[in-house]
Amino acid sequence: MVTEHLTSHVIFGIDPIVASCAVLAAVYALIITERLNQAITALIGASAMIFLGVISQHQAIDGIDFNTIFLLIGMMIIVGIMKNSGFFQFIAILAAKSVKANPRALLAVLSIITAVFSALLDNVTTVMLIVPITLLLTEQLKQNPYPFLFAQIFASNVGGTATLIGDPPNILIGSHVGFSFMDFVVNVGPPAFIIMVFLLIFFDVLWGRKMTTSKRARAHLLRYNPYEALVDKQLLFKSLFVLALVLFGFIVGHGHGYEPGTVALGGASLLMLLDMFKRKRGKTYILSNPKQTHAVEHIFKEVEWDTIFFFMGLFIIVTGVEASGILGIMAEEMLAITEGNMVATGMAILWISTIFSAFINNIPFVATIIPMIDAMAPTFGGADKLEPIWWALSLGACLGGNGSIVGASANVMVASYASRAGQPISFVKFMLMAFPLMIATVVIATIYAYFMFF
Amino acid sequence: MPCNNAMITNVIKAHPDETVEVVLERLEKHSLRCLPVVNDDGVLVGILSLKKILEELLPVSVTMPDGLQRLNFVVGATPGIAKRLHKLKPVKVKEVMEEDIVVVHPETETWESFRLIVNYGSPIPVVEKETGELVGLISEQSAIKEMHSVITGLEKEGELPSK
Repeated sequence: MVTEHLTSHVIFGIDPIVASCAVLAAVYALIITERLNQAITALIGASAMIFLGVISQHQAIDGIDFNTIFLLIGMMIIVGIMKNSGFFQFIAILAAKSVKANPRALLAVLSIITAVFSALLDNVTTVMLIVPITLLLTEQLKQNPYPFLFAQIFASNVGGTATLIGDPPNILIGSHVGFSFMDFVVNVGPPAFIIMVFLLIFFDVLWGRKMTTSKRARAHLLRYNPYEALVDKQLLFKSLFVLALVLFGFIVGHGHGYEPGTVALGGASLLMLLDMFKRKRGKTYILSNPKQTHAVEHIFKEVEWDTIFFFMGLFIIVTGVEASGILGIMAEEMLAITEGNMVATGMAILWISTIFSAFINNIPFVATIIPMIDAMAPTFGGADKLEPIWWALSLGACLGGNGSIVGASANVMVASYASRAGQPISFVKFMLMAFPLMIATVVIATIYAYFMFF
Repeated sequence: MPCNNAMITNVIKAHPDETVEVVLERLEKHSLRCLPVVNDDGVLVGILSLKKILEELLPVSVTMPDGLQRLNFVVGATPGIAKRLHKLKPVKVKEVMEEDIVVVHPETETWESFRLIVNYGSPIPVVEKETGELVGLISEQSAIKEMHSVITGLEKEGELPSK
């Protein structure tokens, strides 16, 4: 029906299926080659969908998932303010001291910290905060930073798998299906935890147990004063308070009809409000209006608008592809191959998303496959029967990101820091170890999924 | 007015193959903060400043783009920093110098050269446009000195009331 209605709008008489697939293919090609900025790519693709008449502007705007957009913007603002408090360096140094600056233990604790922060914040921000301090600590302990950075890449992707807000694929899936924060913790949290334990043991056997350092280097690190790293204690308390409130909102709000986008943006505005109040010589005062404007502009710059517009463009592109009806056809094809078997379909989704996510950005992939999975609902007896498939998609897309250095934005960020620090991570060297290890983690996820979801 | 009137021409230089140690001694001897690095053809190839040397003593996790903002939590690092300087001394100037530097040409206007000093710091090397040969330096001192001599000229011409 939709196709017939839309065909009349299509200019030059192009079939909407052909037009939308051409746009999608071009967008994917540009994303894979990384020759053009992702936001420009997505916005050009989105404009093309409208100009070619596949969808109207109205449909395009309706297609943008503002819950996801608000959730991303809200969390980016909260983290953008919070990171100025020095909290992350504080935690890392405190952890290093608590393990007596033993490099073997440090490898494990830094990985755990990365995983926990990645579960609660976005992965890119987490690695941006943890990698510089890691480089300092490893330099002081005269350790090769590579094992630490490698472990942090895996930790950030695995940690991100565990929660609704940890990784963009989860945000997309959660927002689309309406899964709550706790739904994620309960369903994908345990496999993420098991995989993390497996990785910690693996990294310890491979690298950790061989790490040695001099007493002098350790003594030096033990003299660090982590409390000095806390730049702004008031800001820290404000941001921890708001972050706790937001997490509480994610957990409790779902039952009361409050979506994560509202909670995150509400939390972000509260933290911005609190940030306008400063204390000086025991007196609390509010910044003057021009200073507030300046501060707000500064905070808004922390939002990765490039990512936000990438998402918006993608939503529109996917709406166009969906409206053309091609995803429904593809869903039917896939179901024909799996013979409508739930387990086979779920496993196929898990492994296809793994392989895709290892080499291309998992965000466009997940955005495209979501409506395709939707189209499978009638076969399995309704949308609520699709739950195992959503979890399979989440696990595949998040874990697959570990497969190569370009598999996830966090990996790219770590690699960029490594090369800035004169320790570049080579694509092939990373992949030789990361790809098989990623496959091992997905095997664990597959076994877990087989027994728990299907 | 072109800026070459405001420049110093008797410039003390460094060579890319000299060691940091030799340059540090020269800087101290002449009470300077930096030296232009000039190759055998007289072409400016970089600048070596005390600031750059201090930067080399910092950990890379601080100096890299988007690196750590602070080091105040590192206590008792002084002997370690001194060791870094000791290691840096035998390194060749070309390994340490800044290569990406702002320069002016002799025909660049004075005001523009002053703006560059204000925005990028003193001194600004003056190089020949075609060859890249170093002809002099414009420093804060030489800039003000030149303005003083212009004032004197204007006073003589009666455009400014003389003292």
